[in-house]
Amino acid sequence: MTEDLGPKQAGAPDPSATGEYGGSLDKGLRLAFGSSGSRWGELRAEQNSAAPSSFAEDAPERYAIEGELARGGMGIVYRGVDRALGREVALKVLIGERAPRPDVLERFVEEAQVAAQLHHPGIIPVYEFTRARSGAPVLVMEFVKGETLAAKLQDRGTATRERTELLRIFERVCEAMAYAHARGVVHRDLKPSNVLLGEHGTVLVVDWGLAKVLPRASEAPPAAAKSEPRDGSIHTLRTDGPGSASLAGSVLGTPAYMSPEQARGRVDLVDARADVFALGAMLCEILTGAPPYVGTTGEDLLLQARDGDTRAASARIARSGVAPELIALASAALSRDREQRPADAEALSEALRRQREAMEERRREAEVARVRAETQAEQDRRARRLVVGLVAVLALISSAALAVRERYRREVARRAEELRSAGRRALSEVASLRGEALARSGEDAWMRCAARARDAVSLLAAPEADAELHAEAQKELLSAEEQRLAAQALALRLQREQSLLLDLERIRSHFADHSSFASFERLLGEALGRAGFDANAEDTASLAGRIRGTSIALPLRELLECWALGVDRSVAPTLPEERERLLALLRELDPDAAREAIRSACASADPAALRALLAAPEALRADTHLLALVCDVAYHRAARELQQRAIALLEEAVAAAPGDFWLQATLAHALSFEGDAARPRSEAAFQAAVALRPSLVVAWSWWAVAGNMWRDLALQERALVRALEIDPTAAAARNNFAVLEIGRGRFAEAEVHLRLLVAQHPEHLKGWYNLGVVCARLSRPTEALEHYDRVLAQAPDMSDALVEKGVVLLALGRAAEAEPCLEKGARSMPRDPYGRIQLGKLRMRQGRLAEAIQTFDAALKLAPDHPELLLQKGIALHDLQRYRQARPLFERLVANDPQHVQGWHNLGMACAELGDVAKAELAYRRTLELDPRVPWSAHNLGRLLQVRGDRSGAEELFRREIAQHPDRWESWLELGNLGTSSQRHDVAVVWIERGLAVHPRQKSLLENHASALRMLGSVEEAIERLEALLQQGIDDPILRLNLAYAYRTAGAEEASFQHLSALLEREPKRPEAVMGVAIELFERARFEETAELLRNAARDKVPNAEAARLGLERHAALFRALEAGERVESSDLAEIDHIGLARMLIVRGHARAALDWLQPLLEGPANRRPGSARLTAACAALRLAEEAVENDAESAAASRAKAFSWLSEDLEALRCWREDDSLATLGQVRGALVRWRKERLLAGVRDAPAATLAEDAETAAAAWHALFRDARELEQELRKEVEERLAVAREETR
Amino acid sequence: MDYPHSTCWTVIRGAAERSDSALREFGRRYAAVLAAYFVARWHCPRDDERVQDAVQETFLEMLRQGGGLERFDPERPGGFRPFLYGVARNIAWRAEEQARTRKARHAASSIDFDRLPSEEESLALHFDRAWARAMLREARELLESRATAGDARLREQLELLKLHFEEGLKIRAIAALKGLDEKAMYRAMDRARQTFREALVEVVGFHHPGAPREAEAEVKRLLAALE
Repeated sequence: MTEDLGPKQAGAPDPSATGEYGGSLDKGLRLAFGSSGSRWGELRAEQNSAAPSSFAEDAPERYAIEGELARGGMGIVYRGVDRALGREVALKVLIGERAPRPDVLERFVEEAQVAAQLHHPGIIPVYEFTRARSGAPVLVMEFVKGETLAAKLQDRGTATRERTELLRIFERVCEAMAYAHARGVVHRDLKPSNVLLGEHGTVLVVDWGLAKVLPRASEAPPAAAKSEPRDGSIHTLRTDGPGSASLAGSVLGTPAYMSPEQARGRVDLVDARADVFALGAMLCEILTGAPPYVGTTGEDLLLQARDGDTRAASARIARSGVAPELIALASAALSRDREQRPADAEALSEALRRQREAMEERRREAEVARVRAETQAEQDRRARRLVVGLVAVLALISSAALAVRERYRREVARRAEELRSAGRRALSEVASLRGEALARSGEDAWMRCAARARDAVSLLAAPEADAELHAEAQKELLSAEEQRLAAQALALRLQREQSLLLDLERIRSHFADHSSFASFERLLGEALGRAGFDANAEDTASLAGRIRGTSIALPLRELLECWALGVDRSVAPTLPEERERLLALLRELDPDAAREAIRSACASADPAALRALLAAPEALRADTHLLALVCDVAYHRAARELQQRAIALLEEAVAAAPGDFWLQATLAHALSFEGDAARPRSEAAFQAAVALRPSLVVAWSWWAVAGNMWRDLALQERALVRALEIDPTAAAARNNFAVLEIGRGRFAEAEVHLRLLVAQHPEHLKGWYNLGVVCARLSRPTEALEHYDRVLAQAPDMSDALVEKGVVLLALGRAAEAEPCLEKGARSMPRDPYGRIQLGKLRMRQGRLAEAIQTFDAALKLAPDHPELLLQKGIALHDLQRYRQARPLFERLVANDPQHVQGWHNLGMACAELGDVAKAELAYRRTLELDPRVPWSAHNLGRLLQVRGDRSGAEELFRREIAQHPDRWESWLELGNLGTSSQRHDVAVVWIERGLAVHPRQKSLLENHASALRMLGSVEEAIERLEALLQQGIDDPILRLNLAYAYRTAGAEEASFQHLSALLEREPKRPEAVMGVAIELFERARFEETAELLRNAARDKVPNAEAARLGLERHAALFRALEAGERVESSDLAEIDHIGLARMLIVRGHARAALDWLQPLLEGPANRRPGSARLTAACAALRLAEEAVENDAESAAASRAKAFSWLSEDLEALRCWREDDSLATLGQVRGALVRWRKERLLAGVRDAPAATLAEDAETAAAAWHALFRDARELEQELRKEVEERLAVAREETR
Repeated sequence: MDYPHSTCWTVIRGAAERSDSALREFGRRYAAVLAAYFVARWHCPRDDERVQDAVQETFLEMLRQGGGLERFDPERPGGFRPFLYGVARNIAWRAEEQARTRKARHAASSIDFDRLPSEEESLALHFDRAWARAMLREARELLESRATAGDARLREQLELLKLHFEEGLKIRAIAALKGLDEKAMYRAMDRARQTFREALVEVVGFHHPGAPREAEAEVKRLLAALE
């Protein structure tokens, strides 16, 4: 605020000469003089030292905390200094700011949002809503030096003192609240301590912490309201979010000023009329010295407020001695029934204004009447006194008291002389004061003059005084009073004009920055209204007449001129009434036809007219304002040669008038489009412009645009920050900041800017569009669509919005809706391939690959090396399996940009498809080097290594893919395949189970899981799982096959046959189905059907069908020969087929032939287990024993003994087999044991054949049971082992 | 307030003797200093009733029969400031002790006495700062009263100080405003600062009877406390 007394200058005394503590003394002086006469200042100074150091340390770096200002229920307000701008600020933080309650935080954010969106001289401006270093929210506001209304009320002593001034303050509060009410905001905590009185007469309503944004009556339900915010309305998290309704029953506010409905917690009833009540309560305090409710405790006050009985307060107001209208107004505002109160603060403000004006008028009249009456009365009195005096004198004469008379006469003469002398002195002083007042024209000077004149009138009112002097004094008094009233009116008018001038400059800057007509007209209307001009209600000619003589005439004309250039009648001949009125006002203010013609030419951007203007600019040179406007239009809307001419003219004009802000700014802006070569000239002009008007946002905003042109992000950010510091509502700057953040990928930050932007400027289409983009990027497509629709409703041809809407629709799977958007968008951007890229992607998504390629080709003509186009076309070709055409595109892509990850990845895929494994591997490895997180690269490379046989390398890559993308079930499946192919079925089962945890219904995983379980020996579990899948409606060929195999392994041939038949019916050409059914038919000796099936299959070109038919025909011939008891050589037959034929013989009752046929296989060593030859032989032997038991017991016993022996050997063979400890064996042993049970049934022996074992029944039965018990035990052991192995595998793969 | 003919002891003695005007003067001078100290000590708003109570308590303690003022020795080293601080600190301790006892029996107080700063030294500094501000304010009031009494030169100097330190005008701007040469304005401003310093020494001396050198040292100490 103050400078150091240096720099020391030659000849200047040393400023520190005041002693060795000069610096400290200056600080002391600032303290002594910086807080004079202000309670708040005093409090501030005293509490500076009390500022908790915690916030001083935690405050945002930009601000230095200097002390605490105030403390409320919710927050603490600190005084600070903005280090960047050197200005004083007030910072509000929440109490307990490190972890505020969500509702408190929400209210705080809402306070910031509400206050930031209310722009009124009576509402404290918000500079910034930021965060402390700890992350706590901080609201930065203007620092106001002054005191609160509460302090002022308290200091005044009696209720009648300073009443006029207080009523004027109150009227300003009402005006501020009228503005807030007009925007649907209710304060809910209005009270004198929330009104700040600044040093220069400013009146500010503060603390919007309890403010509520009211829904409008015209608004639809909340959802609709969200998508259709109204003009000028306020938006907050709560109004836009689900928590917009305050908690019913909650009581917020201060009881002494609280309306009954608010005190009762009737949140639903709280509207502007609650604030009206609070205003009434403040008015009551101003008039009577106390608010309506007076109590000793908060509870007592709250009870009174709930009751709402204000009769006592009204009685007090009635006794206050003010005008009846004011009494009636205050009583109405305090009505218990809110319907009886004025509708809002506007109504209250209007009534107050009327009342004040009437009162001033009355006072003026009364003053004049009083002076006149006093004059008349004095003359009468003097006449009467003269008569009385004469009578007295006569009486004295008659009493002959001549001595006394003489003495009296002398006394009267002396007194008269004294009065004459004093009166002359007083009149001389009045004359002197009048001269002074005439020289200074101030209200105060006239007030002093009037006061002195009044003194003179009183002095000369004595009977002895000179009547002429008395009359002269009265005349002086009358004149001074009239002059005082005139000076007062003039001061008020000048003050309003001054304020309007500032407003006009800001509006112009705002309009130049963000060409919003609606916003311009609204702001102008408000500014004029504040200055007492109603552009809508007053006749234009009379309004122009009133304005013409004032200091605002020229600035207003220039502002309207700037605005009028955008009103092109050739496009819209009929304009809204308000716009017509403003144009008419402009014509009234500036009736010059030549200038009107120039304006029309600029508005329509008529090239011929502009050319003519620029060719002969003499008319413009005289008016730099119009010159700047014409050049601006010519540069931005005309042909190239006119652009050059415009710049030349601007440079010429700037040289002639370097102090003209708009010339400098317009030149700088135009030059910024002229490339890097013109940058120094542009920057010089920008520097000059911001030096001329540092507080006008437009120059900074344009400078940021220039930074974008020059690709200087740091400059861009600096300029935007500056622009927003100056005006947090600057639309273009806010939007550009958001775009900057989007470019950096900081979408959440961008969203904050955009939300603020569209709340402040609901008409800002680019803001809504960018908000849509941000929502789309933040995966909120539905919200993004709402924003795009809003934009397109206003601007149906906005290509960016069309394309982005199409992209979002596509992402939502609504391709049919997306296509027309994208087509229209692509057409609307003929030189930008973006729309076509998205359209091509849509067609790819729909499988219309050829069309997609055509679209990409069309776009590639515009941008032959556009990376996205090369990529997308390559992918489309790849999907069409045109790998040879796709590969060069990807190669070109990575040659142009060796860092293009997707290019490398797709090149890898194309090479892999083309069999160029080495190149594919290289491309995948490059992809992973550039970005290890690229989806599928590790997986695909893993598959390459898997094919190459590098199992460990493949496993590592699949695991890497899963680490980056834990939901990648395909990699789990591949890991399962790795396990299966390395015979680690336990590991395979576990890996596939991990995949199932991600995707529980994935078919391939389920099938592979069942298959692995089956291979592991858990055949029953495998069947159970596969059947469950079938029950869930998953019916596909692989599942059926797996089920058939599982049933077959379990020995349930019939079930297996059924599934295979069902599969064959659905897919007659599926080789597995054909072969499976053929085998089943063959085993049932249905040879003709088998042959027929395979013949048909061969005709349908089912692979191997013919070979199978020939093989089975041979087997059939063998079987027939064996059945006929012929001797058959079988040396070249596979063992499994050999045993199979034996089983067929047993089933068909040829046990003997089966035994003979198996004989060559039984001759090997006992521990070798060639399939199940011994088992099948044992079955045959048991059959024979059954057959012989009646006729030949001995033979039967021998057969049984043989059978028992083979079974024992087979079991032993199984045990040995199992001991080789391979998992493959484990599964096979389990399968074999299942067959054991099956073969027992095959043999037709369900239990120990006791009846046939008469001789050694007991021994035989024991041996039989022992055998099957051993088999059961072995099976149980195996089952347990499988479980253990799975547990170990789960642990290993964790 | 007429410094040349009075010292603070007259006010203090007058207050001790229950003179109405002296009591009012006593309260006017020291209430703000005491309140600032309690506010800093308890981290609470100034209008907290406990702060008001403590200020009242301090006055009562000073003014009661046989209380602080009666016992106070004007020859005490350091003057009245450390004495007042000592009384205020004792009152604060007493209030804190009472609150702890009350808290143990009833609900919590709005001031959390368990979280009070333990460093008396920093609190003493708060007190000294508040005292320094009070002295600065009195120095200004002294100059203003003299200027109002008709000292034109002083009125001029006060105006300069206000323009610079209150209005924030740069010296150059003030020079332009007054139509004076900039160097001359620097000289005038320096003289005004010198006058203010002298007034400050005078005010401090009023509270700190003794040799002028002691008052100078006290001024230096108080200004250092503001750093």
